[in-house]
Amino acid sequence: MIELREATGGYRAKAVVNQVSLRFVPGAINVVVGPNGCGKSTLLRMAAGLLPPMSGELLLDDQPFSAIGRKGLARRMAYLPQSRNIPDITAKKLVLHGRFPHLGYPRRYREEDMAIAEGALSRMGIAHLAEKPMDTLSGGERQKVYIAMMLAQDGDVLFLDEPTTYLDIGHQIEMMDILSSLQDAGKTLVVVLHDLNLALRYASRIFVMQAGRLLYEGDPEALFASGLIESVFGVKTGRVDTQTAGIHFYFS
Amino acid sequence: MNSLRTSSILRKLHSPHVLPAAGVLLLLAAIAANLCFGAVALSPARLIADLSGTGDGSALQIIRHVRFPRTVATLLAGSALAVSGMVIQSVLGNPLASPGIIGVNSGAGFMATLACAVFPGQMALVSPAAFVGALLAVLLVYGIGRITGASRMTIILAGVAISSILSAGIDMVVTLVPDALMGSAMFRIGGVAGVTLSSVFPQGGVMLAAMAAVFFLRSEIDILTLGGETAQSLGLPVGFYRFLLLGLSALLAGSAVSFAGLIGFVGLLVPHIARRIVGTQSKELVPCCMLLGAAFLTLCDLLARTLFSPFEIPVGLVLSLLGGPFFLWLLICQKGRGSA
Repeated sequence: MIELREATGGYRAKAVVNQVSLRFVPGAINVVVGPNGCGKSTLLRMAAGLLPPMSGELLLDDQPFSAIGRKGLARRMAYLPQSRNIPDITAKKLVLHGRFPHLGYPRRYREEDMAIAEGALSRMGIAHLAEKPMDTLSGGERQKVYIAMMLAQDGDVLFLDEPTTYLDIGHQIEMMDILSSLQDAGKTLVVVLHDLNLALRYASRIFVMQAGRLLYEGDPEALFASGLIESVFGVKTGRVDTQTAGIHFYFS
Repeated sequence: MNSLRTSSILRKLHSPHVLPAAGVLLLLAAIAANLCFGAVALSPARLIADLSGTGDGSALQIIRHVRFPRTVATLLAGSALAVSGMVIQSVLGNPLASPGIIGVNSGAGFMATLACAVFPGQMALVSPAAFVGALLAVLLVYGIGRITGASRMTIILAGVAISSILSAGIDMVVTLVPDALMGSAMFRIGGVAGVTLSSVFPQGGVMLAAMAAVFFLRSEIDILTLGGETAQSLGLPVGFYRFLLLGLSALLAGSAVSFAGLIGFVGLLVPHIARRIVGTQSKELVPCCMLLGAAFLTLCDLLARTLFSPFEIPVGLVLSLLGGPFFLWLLICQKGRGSA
């Protein structure tokens, strides 16, 4: 379980996240939302151990991050950045790199790493793309390769920074369904989302940030009822029960 | 259609033995040609006669004192600069970076010239000075990239600026202290005429060790090319390895500059060609860069010595004449990919 205690963090002595304390719920889809520039990506990077906090504590199963170490953290949690350069390698080689934190010294991939990488590709249903170079894949396929890489990394906690950005609506829903299936498989997910409708529909726990502070934490239904979305995002909200495709939220 | 055919030929070449064998053959041919041709062409028959003691021994003398040291120098400098360029491109995540462009060469040249001007006659100082200059330049560019948020274009522009400042520094030192030995045109254009084994020897060992270290760190290089954040989330101490690898590439480029002068373009040209042939995985890329870099510079030196024989031109000139157009072609091909 990941816990932040009064964590403050940012870049070059400028705090973007201010004294946030929270616990992400194990085995749940934890979704972080908030207006642009509220510090949700910074919060995610800090919680994933990529950005050391300026003050406060970060804990994984009650152990401070610093005591676990970078390699230890990488074996237990994986992070998917929002924007990435497209590496000039095949999908399988990329997924294989997910095994990096598990390698001894010198770092050479073993047969078992190869098998795990292939397993991760099949689990994402993209075994047929294994030998394709990354730059020939579509955005949706690429995203699946990156998720397979996180699965090969074999941690219990997966951090994803806006995994649906740059995807069309079909692939957005497919991505969220993938995250649901990962939750069913016992993974803890921490996801920053831009799309409030997807956030409210898929989150099991939702965190609202504004101006670097944590404003709300609770389940999505309660958030919707609280009227907080109106004040934070400056929009009117509504909901429809579509009978065929579940409950949808709309904003105007 | 044409490109399809090329790629299938390349795939055929990918079978495990053909490609390395072709590379080694190319290298051996370059070495043999470099030993045989020059101001005086030495036929294999004359060589064999000398070796068996029936000749006048002149062919052996030329090879031992002139062509062998030169060949060793071009082999070492070519492979070192190519590997240095490959590492810089991978670590900075920038295909247009190279020791010549981001100021590593001119940094090495400036410190080497300064050392010669301040401590005349202390040739032992030149090599460490070149290394320090190369390292300072690469760290300066890297630091500027970090402060400004490391857009790829910023790094290149910063490198170009630093490069021209340091070149001006070299010119200034040479103007004020005309006796600075390294201020010769040969050094600034880059050349290996007059190289002796003793001037190549100590750096040669350092270069081989540095190239071995780069090859040893091949998995880390591959992880770094995935991008800083991804590398970090895979548990790699990104800052440490960037520093270590940039240090190694500065060591390689600085050592090469200390005896071969400011040779440009090998570090840009060869990694790009190598990537087209073997792909981007360091396991194949590092050896390929070494082979091609060594063979390419050796062949350029052969051209430099024979093109206007009996006069010879600095090898750096040949390189720039070949490398310049290639760089332009690269820029034209990059257009439209929009990866600024």
